[in-house]
Amino acid sequence: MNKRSRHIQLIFFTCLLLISSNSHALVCSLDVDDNGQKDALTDGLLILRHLFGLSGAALTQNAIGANAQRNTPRQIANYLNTVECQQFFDVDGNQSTDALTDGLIIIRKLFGLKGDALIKNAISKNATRVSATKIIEWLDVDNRQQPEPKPEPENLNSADAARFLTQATFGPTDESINKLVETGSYKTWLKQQMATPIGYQLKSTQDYWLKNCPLNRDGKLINHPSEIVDTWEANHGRHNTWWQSVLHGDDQLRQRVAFALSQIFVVSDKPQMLQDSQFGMASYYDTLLKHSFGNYRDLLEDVTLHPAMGLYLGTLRNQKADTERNIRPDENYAREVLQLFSIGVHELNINGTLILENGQPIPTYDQQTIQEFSRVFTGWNYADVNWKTWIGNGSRLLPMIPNEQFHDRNEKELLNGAVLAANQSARADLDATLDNIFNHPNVGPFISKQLIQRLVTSNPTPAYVGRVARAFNNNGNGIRGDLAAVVNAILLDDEARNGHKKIAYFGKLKEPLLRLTHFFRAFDLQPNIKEGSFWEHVSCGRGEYPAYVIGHTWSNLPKLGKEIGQAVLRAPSVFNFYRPDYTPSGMPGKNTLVAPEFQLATENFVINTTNLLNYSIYWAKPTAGVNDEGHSWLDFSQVSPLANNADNLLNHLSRVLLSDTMSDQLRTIIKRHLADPGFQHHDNIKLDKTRDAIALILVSPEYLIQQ
Amino acid sequence: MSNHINQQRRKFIKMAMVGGASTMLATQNKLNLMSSAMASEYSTMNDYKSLVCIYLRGGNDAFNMLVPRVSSEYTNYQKTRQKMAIPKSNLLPIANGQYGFHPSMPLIRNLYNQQQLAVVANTGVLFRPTTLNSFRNNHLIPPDLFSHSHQMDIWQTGYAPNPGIIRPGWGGLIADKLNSANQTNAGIPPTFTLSGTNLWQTGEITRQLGVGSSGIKKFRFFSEKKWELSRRRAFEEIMQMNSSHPLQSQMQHIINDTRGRVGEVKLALDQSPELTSEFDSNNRLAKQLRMVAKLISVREQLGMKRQLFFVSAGSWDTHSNQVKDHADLLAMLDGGIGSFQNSLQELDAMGIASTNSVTTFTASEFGRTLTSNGDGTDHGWASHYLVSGGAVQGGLIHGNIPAMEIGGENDATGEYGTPAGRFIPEYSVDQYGATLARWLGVSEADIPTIFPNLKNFSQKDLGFMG
Repeated sequence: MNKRSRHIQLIFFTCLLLISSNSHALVCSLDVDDNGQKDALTDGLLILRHLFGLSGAALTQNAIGANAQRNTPRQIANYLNTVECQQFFDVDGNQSTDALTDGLIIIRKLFGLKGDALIKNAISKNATRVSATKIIEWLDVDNRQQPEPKPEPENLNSADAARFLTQATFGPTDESINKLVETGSYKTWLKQQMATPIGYQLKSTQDYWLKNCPLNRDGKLINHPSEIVDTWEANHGRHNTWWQSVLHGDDQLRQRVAFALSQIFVVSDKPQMLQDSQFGMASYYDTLLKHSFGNYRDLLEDVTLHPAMGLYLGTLRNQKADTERNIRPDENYAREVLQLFSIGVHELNINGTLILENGQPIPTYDQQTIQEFSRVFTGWNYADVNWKTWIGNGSRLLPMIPNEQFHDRNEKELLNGAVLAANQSARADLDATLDNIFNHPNVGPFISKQLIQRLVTSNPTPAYVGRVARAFNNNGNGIRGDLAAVVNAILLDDEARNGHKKIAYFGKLKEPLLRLTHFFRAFDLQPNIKEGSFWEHVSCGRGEYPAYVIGHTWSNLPKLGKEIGQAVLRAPSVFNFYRPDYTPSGMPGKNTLVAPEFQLATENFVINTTNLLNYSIYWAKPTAGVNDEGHSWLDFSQVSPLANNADNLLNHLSRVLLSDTMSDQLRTIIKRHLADPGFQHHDNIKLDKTRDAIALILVSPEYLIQQ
Repeated sequence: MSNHINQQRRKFIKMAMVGGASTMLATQNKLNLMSSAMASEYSTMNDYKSLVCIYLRGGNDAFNMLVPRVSSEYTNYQKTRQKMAIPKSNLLPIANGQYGFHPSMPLIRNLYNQQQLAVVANTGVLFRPTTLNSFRNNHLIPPDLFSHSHQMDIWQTGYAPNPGIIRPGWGGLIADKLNSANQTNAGIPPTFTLSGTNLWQTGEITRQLGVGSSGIKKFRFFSEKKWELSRRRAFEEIMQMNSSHPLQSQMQHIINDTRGRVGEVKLALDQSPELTSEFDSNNRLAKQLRMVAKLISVREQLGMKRQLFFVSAGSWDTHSNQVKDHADLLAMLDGGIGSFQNSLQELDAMGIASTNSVTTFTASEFGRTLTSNGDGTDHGWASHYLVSGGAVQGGLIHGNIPAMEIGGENDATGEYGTPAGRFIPEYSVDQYGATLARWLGVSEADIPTIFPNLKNFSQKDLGFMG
């Protein structure tokens, strides 16, 4: 080896160490089957066989450890073929990996051999590492590459805080920025947020109903919440509760994560059967809130058994085949739970990229699998239906319960060849099936990538996805599926924190609701005083529930969703408002980048959302709601005094709306306008300047793209 | 399109990435010019024609939309569909009583009888002619069959989806070609969507224009009031800022595009002639089709000779409660198509467009299983589609309605244990689309560039457009 290449190797090695000490970058470990242990007879054997050129079953037979995360021949081979592993397995440093030298040393090392016994007759002629000490030092490298606590930035400034809060909440506010800066640690903030009491939706939706419409079906006063009849009209209270939670709730992180989950585990009240189940919808959202920092496996189970999901995707009263009448079980949930809620249609590497075979993606399942799964999800019904009757209406709030009579008790084949024995109960089948899904290697990358897309950036690097997926696979204490660990990994990752400085396409288009909430939170939108809600509630049980009144903007709630293209739990279908792989046409770099939220950036949505924001700005009151009790109001009273000095004003606005990153160009343009000799005003000039500055920022690409 | 042009385009796109938004806009113009120059054969078109795509999201159950009435076939159908079978006496007979439309479709049946509507039977997503044998050997079978999103993508583009890579849709590619037939100065594309962004209308160059069912509003920033001029100028300056961030410049590009297009469209719509044809305001499809009629009514003001419209409605994924839900959905479709054809007659009387110049066709990602799950049906493959308008060879069923037989020679899921009646289509969507494109005026030379799988089929035209 010449000097130059040795130098390069040294640089490579140094980089490896640097990366590994800072983050959970992909480094090769001797724990090839990823079960948390390095064993000679599994990991060592796998490496040796691989170096002998074995593949397929010959590679992995009897060599996969218990609880291995990597367990198929393909996964093992993919891992062993990574550049990182190829480098690492060149143990004696002769620029080549050989079974009878490098492989032998590795397996000896894993057997615990040391000194001469480790290297005897196993060092090649042109080796650059020839002593046992050097070799051990090399092989122990990966011991130092376990996830380490990420160092907090020394000075967490307000710009850092605002950026973080844009990703982790429904928008930063003056107060929340100050608080995070004071806390001085993202980690502490995350910990506090995860411990904050949960702002559940059902109770508040019911209270809203009781307050505004306390009548039961017979028109008599309701004495007890159990007398509440689920109804479409309650959608008003459900939405009001959601807006209250996302604008003013203390559990911001949880609310933001639950909202992201609601776009993965989609239930929508668009179909008739759910329109009239508004309390059921609120209860479903509570399920997402409950498990936002819990375990994915529990979330999957509660989602599966929630009657809203049961109605939406047909598990409710799905029954075993009746071959006489050519009836098969409903395949709807079987398909979508696999395609959308867990593993997706193609096998993935841990970093979320496709595993290819002859250049083609590999399906995770086929129609046969769907049919097998459809038989699993049979025999479930409302919890409060008389056990003898299969039909009849029931509770939209209680988890479904099994009725064995309607459950398919034949044998079923699941993913990766697992088999459910015949004659198991509906419950036992369900438990084993959800375990089977949960343990599929796709779940980590599939779910992690989508959560990153919802919170941080449309195009995470594979390395970033891989780091988060590893946290999904193992939270550090050997637990798989810990969503708290996933959320921490997403938000603390170097890419989330510093990606905007390093990656030209980093970030995402703010979806319409986030475009609104960010602004509404920054200026503390308050419910109107008369109603105590954002929306006016005008009649009970039979009329309209029409008005949201922000400033003097009148419209109704269903219309708001239609105008901006988005309302919570109102997606057009189980495929959400947009698809994770959507790429708009005409997009620069279109062959690599996706931008899901652009699917909603049509002319009418762009105009409607912009106009809505403008109305809210121009009708905002200078002082808190005085003489205007019928309207929800935004509060510019804190900021408008700053308009004496354009820079002071823009500094403040940049802080809460742009994470302190207002470009010089944007600043120059707005300042020019504010200083225009023809600047006219209606109320008072400071307020009008404030309004114009805000309006111009909100329509700027700098605001629209969250970085 | 030649490789050379493709290279040029890539170069432009590269430049756009470096140069930011203003370069990007310039690039769009250049691309438009380029496409116009190339497609000059279309710039002399004098007549008016348009296509209206009615997309039924979720997979329409064609087997309950059109049912055989001949006794042996009806018996087979009834035996399979059981409680979900449409009673024979309720069917609306066509074709000498051999078949019947669902009872929710009286207007469609009338149009059929008036030869203003045809059925294109047994059609679906195919890459090549497919038999049970080639299916079993997995010979060029569309991937991810029975998945909504994947089949919808292939239906609309002819390609299996590949994240991050745009496969333009065949409507968008038609628009790329026919754009030069239109004389518009505001960058208004031939493609209007009433139902959000869709792949079908996504072109290499063309970006679809989204309009709401009730039309389009003005940007509030564009008041002409004198005291707002300075703010307007600031807005314009923000929209000309250079950004090297691809998402920022894309969003800026969309807002800029929107400003230009929307003003013209709104102006034209504000002056549009009154339409008296009735559209049920509670019918989601009818509301969109009403706006399509309005947009057609101003096609001269907008300089349009060729247009492609997209409307859609969801909830066709009838896994449960199908008897009631599907009846409601078909009634919606019936009302929508019926009202729309009436409004075309009204436009005909005004001399703006005619039933002959507008062809409407249905689309849906797949048909459904012939077997049921008790109160619904699951994802299938072959389906029947409806085409309406004066130019259609109406009053006919084009293609063969498959036998109502489970586990027969066309039952694709015979492979997966118990057969379920997921039929392999006889005709491909490429053939269906090419027939429509040819009618619209796309040249024989261009058609294969738009429909990637057409080369695998010997029959290039299904004949339902004369």
